[in-house]
Amino acid sequence: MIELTRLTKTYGDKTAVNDISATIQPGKVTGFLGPNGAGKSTTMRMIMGLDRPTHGTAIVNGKRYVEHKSPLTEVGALLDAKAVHTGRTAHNHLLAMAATHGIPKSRVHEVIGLTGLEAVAGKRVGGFSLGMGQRLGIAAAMLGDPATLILDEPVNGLDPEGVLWVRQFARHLASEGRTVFLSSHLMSEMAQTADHIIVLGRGRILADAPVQAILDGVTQSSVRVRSPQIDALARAIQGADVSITGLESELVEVSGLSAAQIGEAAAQFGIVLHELSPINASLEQAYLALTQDEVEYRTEVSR
Amino acid sequence: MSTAVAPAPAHHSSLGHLTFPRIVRSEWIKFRSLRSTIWTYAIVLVVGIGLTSLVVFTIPESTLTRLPDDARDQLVTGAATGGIFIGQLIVAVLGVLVISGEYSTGMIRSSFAAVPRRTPVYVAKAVVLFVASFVVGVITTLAGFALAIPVLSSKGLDASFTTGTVWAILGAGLYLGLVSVFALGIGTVLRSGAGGIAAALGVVFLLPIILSIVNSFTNVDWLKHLPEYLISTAGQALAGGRNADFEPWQNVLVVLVWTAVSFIAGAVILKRRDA
Repeated sequence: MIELTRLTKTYGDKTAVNDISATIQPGKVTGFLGPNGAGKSTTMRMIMGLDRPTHGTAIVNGKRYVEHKSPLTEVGALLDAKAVHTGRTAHNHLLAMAATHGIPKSRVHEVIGLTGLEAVAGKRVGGFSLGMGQRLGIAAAMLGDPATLILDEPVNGLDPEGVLWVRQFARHLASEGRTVFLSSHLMSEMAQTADHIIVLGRGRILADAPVQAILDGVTQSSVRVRSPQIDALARAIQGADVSITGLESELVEVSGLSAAQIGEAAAQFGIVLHELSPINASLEQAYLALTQDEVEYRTEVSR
Repeated sequence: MSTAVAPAPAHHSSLGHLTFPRIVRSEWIKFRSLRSTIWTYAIVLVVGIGLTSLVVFTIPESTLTRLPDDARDQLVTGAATGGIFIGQLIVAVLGVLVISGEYSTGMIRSSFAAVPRRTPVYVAKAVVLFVASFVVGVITTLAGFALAIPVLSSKGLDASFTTGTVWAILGAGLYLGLVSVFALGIGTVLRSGAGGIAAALGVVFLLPIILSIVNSFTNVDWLKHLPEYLISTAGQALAGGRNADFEPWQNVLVVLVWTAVSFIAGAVILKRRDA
């Protein structure tokens, strides 16, 4: 379990993380989502005691990370791929990390096997691809068999097989009752991996809810209706909460009503329908809607 | 990477806690698993023995026989330990790289994730660095004397292994060990390999030269005595040389003060700054 209380980090007059409070529960995969520069990595570094919070606290499994007697068995972290000396072999890197806690060599070999690094364990990390670096980072995070995992952009640079592996791995770890906190700027990735999502934009929490609630809450679902009597239909269904947007001469998009409600209204007034298709908001849209005003480095097409 | 997920062992099995000896062991694994470490020490050894060979094999017998008594001991020691002058520069570079390499590669975040209190990592690095540099310094000067004494004796000089020899060997080891820790502190304060090496070599190598240039132009009393308080002047005196009329313990004290200031500055900054 990770508890963030009014956590804030400023660099000079720039606020990277702005007064965020949240609880990341065990037994779930919690996604930490936000555009680049939103403050995700800074938050994770503060949890790990690498960056000092300007205000507020980050508590992991009941204590600040720095206060744990056996940090690697409490939290395993992948903070950025290749936080590894490039001149050292993967095997020696893991041995050195393990030695700090007296973790046996057999566990080092276990995590090498777990992450599929057997073939490259004896090679120096400088020659690793991004994907190999990620696997090594995950191997290091798993060394202490920790109760909590913090993974910053774990699928970055992985091939499709690796992405699938991380997804299943994260779900498996959560199913064992561990706390899994992973960040991404890719909504689609989160939709398939996380149970719960915290959306961060410009250092603030924009949403903190189960995946489904984010979908339902942020973007309204709409229904596409095609009818030769579109004007009559519009009169039949209009109301305070209903918005009707004309797309083509016989095609409108209706929000505020379900497909069933529109179909019943059409039947009641004897209106012919050629199409009645519900459009579900994607998590991607929900995310864009949430972060629209919070993207720090937006590409502006027209200035 | 297989898509099947291997079963993880039960949480908090018999895995151990952080302890200082374990952190030292970890730092030792890090230290010996980099090629640069092996190369650096190999160069100290080769340069030391090379320099001693060059002196003892080329010095003419006529020079040796004309020497006054006390100059003979100085010559033997100087020939045997001359490599320390180069060796101090090499281990200073190593001392900087031991920490700056972690910052430049991002390794420092892995190190601090494992040991979030940070200071034990730094102290363990210093212990490993000191012991390794000490041992290499002892081996290098031991080899130097083992070469210088028989060769110079064969050329008619009355050279032998004395208690002074033992002190020179231990002093050379002590100085190399401390100067590497001094450089570790500088590397920690500056975090950058290039900057750290420039600063460390500036103090160890350039400062004595600059002071001697200044002293050749001016005649200020306190400036004349300043070189005696430099880490390299006092340090090389530990390896059997002379530093004004300083006692050995005074030379040790000078080297220790430089090392302590640099090391403590590094410790304070390491703890305060974001990694």
